[in-house]
Amino acid sequence: MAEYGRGGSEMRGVSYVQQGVVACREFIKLLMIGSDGRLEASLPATDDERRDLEVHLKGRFGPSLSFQVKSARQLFHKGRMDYLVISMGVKPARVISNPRFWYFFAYLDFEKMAFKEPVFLVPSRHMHRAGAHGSTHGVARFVFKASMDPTSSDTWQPYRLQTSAVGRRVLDILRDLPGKPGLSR
Amino acid sequence: MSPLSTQQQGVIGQYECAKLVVLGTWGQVEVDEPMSDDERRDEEIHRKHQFRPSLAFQVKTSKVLGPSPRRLLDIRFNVPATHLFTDPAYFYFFAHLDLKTMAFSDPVFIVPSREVHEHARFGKPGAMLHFSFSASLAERSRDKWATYQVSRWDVGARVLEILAQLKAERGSLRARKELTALPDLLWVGIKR
Repeated sequence: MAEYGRGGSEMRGVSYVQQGVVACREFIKLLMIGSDGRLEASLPATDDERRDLEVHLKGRFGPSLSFQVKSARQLFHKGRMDYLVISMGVKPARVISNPRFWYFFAYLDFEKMAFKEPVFLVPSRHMHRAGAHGSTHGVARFVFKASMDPTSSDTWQPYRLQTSAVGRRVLDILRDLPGKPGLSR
Repeated sequence: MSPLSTQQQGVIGQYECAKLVVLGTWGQVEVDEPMSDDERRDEEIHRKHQFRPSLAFQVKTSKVLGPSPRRLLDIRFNVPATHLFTDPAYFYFFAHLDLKTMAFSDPVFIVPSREVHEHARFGKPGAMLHFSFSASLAERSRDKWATYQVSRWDVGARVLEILAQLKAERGSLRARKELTALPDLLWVGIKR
């Protein structure tokens, strides 16, 4: 039988807005320290494009990456396994799949006040394909459900990272970006 | 030494501090960040749905920590004399930013501005004032900053405590003002 993990009444005091802000900043910290300061992050003034932050190499105006940061405050238990489950609804016009747009998924452990290992960096294209879950009332549904088990071989396994490796991974992604930016839906 | 710039270090320090406050109070407080830093307030903190009292933190971090057992945290900073504010609602938050764990080392320090301005100042006073905060992170430390040690896990509780104190002080001040405004009031006291 499946059940949700810790979810005490205290935890409910933290609003989803607070959780989102803390998670986004925690991610920025991983990027800056993990890249030895080579990555800079900027926060858009508005969130119309579902980009929580933009990241570029310090001192360069060239390629940048955009991230949508999604965190969960509890894990889903099934048998002996812990799963990170995050679902979201997106208007079809706002579903953008682009090599420069990535998702960051993590479990934010309120008691430890940090992300639990591992975390996930997923390309938007893969997320929108593998995580598609139909649509409701004209809103496209996506579900990210990944095992937290290090031996797991689910579809999200290639995107699993230790927090200490996040900065270096983003540096690699920036280096490997295709030359011409495109926009595909 | 890490190539992390001082600006990046500053931002990470502020984010880390805000996280400890928000999650450490289980979301009971809100943390605001001023758009400019003219008043040397990095974080403004208040209880959700209340406008007063609020407290302000100036966050100072160091990437370096002295060796065990003293584990000395040494943070130096300069403040233009015109920008030095001392207030019961204004605190300094000092911490060691450990780049390996990507978190603050335990403990951190939450120190009233009055204490810092009185006891951490060095050099000749001029247009620029110089401060040196040098404190041991050792559990059994007996230096002058030891009373301000706070475990990372207790930062939220300490913030709620300070807010409660500020509220109580404000309440007693208001009560005294209201009393003195009463007509025909006669104060009776005991000579000590």
